[in-house]
Amino acid sequence: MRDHWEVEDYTFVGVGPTIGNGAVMQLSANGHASEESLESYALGSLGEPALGELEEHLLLCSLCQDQLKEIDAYHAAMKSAAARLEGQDESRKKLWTRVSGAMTFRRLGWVMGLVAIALGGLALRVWLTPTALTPAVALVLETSRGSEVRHAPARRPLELSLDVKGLPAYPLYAVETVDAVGQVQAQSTAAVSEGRVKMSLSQGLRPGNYFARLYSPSHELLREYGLVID
Amino acid sequence: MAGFNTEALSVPEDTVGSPADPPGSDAPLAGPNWTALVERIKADDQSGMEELYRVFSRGVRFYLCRQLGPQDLEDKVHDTFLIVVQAVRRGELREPERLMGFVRTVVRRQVAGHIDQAVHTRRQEVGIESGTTVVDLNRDPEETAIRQQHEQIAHRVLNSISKRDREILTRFYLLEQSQQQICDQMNLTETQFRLLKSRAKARFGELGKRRLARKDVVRFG
Repeated sequence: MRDHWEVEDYTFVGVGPTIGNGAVMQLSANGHASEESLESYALGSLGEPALGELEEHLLLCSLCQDQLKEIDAYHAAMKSAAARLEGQDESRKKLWTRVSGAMTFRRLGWVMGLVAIALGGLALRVWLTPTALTPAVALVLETSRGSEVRHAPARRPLELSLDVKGLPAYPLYAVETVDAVGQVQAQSTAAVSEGRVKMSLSQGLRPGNYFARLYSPSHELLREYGLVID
Repeated sequence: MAGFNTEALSVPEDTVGSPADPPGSDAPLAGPNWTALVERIKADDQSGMEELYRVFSRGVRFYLCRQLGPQDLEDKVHDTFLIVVQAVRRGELREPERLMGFVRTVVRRQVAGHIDQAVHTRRQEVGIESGTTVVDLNRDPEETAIRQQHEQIAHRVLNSISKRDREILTRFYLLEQSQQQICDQMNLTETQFRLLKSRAKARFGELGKRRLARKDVVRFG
């Protein structure tokens, strides 16, 4: 038994048609199977007699076996990746079909109507509550002789400054606003700043007569200021 | 194999797995003088059998593994060898110069037989949980990892090309449409089709090399 094989021990496969009916196994110039025929073989699209010739060649040629392995691996990878991408496309299409199927012209009309109503409601709310958008009206309320009752517009934020001249000094004062029948509209506590106690009414007041009352920490009424909302 | 004198046909261990091609040669081979080889086998010449085994074992192994997977591969190669030798000895090979054609026929019949058997077994054993023989077509973990990497690269290649080009490649590789059919339906020339295929393949190779290079940098960095 020989340990080594020499090139002379083998006969070489020729190029071109080798089988009776003229079918050609596409061998490249170096006598190996062409990439094209190996690819056709890998895809199972090679017919006889070229198939027989190629398979016989593959039984002997390790170089073509290796090349076929590479082609097989490449085909498997492309097939698998293409299937994955097709699957992704398919699910995207399904989702779009579902969405577009649900969005018929009539349904779309309903949706548009609802959106219009929602926008209208929002606009109405903004219109009815201008306080959030309009600047506050600052009023200084005094009770000194000769001072007049102050007037302010309705539904506008108010910044009331209550004059505390002549009152006992406390670190904090309680302030409340009541309407003409004594119903409390707002309450807060505030410290004196620049001789005044400030109170904010962000929602404003409805038209009518009001009173701002100033209390000591022990809730003793110290002073009452008149206010007319027009 | 029943009916075969396996002792007389035993293959020396040093011949198993030897390459069919002479080392260092890219030359395509048609094998030794087949007629003489057949005569030696008929004459019970052990070296003739060794030579036959050496010449075709790799090719047969490759063919069987490609068609049936790696399970029991050595047994299948051995069975094929025994069938061929036995047939040669019985004088069933009428054209000795067509020995490789005969080997191919035997291998194809072996594959068909195994597939038939697998289909039959599957039909018979449907629903039986115990004792079911399942052919393991999976490769080892390394091969699985390589396959996954290849798929990722192919995914990148398909994602990097136009929708139309992707459709062409999908038709070819996934839907297995013929080149002619694709060219007709997609209004392509054969050259355009081939060019697209070869570009995709080149890109696949390029990305594979880059990935390999990156791994080497990480490994030695």
